Amino acid sequence: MSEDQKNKLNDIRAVSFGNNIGEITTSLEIITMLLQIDSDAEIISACKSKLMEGITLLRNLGYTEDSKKFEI
Amino acid sequence: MLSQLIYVSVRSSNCDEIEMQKILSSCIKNNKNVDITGVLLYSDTKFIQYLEGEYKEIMGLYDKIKLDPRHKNVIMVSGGPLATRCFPSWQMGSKKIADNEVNFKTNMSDDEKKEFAALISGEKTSSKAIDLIKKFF
Repeated sequence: MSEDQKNKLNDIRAVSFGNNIGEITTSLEIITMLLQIDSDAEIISACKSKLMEGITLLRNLGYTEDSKKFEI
Repeated sequence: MLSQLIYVSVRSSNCDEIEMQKILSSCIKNNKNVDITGVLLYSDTKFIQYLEGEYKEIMGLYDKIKLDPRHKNVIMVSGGPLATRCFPSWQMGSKKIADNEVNFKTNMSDDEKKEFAALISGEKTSSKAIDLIKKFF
């Protein structure tokens, strides 16, 4: 894995959703985009992991309908 | 070494239009001092920025951006060496675009969308792909 890919991986793993609904959904949109365009197995795995984390958070906050938009 | 870097980030909810003007002003002022050029596309909720300059300088700027509270969840999507600058005279061109354009639902053709996706995934740094970014301007 190149240095740039490592940086990308670290950035994805460092994603913190917080509790602002707008910022959570925007973060999930960005992760979904990365998931669609990257072919590296580790990046895809990190994106899926973060996607699950964000979806779970949305559900826990009561935004079940919003969470469905990000289900694969 | 001349390099390029593209990142995406969440525009913090407290980053209003006044803060945006401050960002754009400081980009133009500070980037000139370190010979960084590029473009900043932003919507109400996201940033996507293309930076070009010496590797050390753009990485230094990237580290600062990651600590800027106006950005959240900054993610590098592409980086690498660059033969020649694509925006040599732009300290930081900028444009506000609609959210759906950030999601690539633009008037680009399917082939152009693939090229743009390849660019931001780091698979390509071709001038053709950069031309697609220029379509936003």
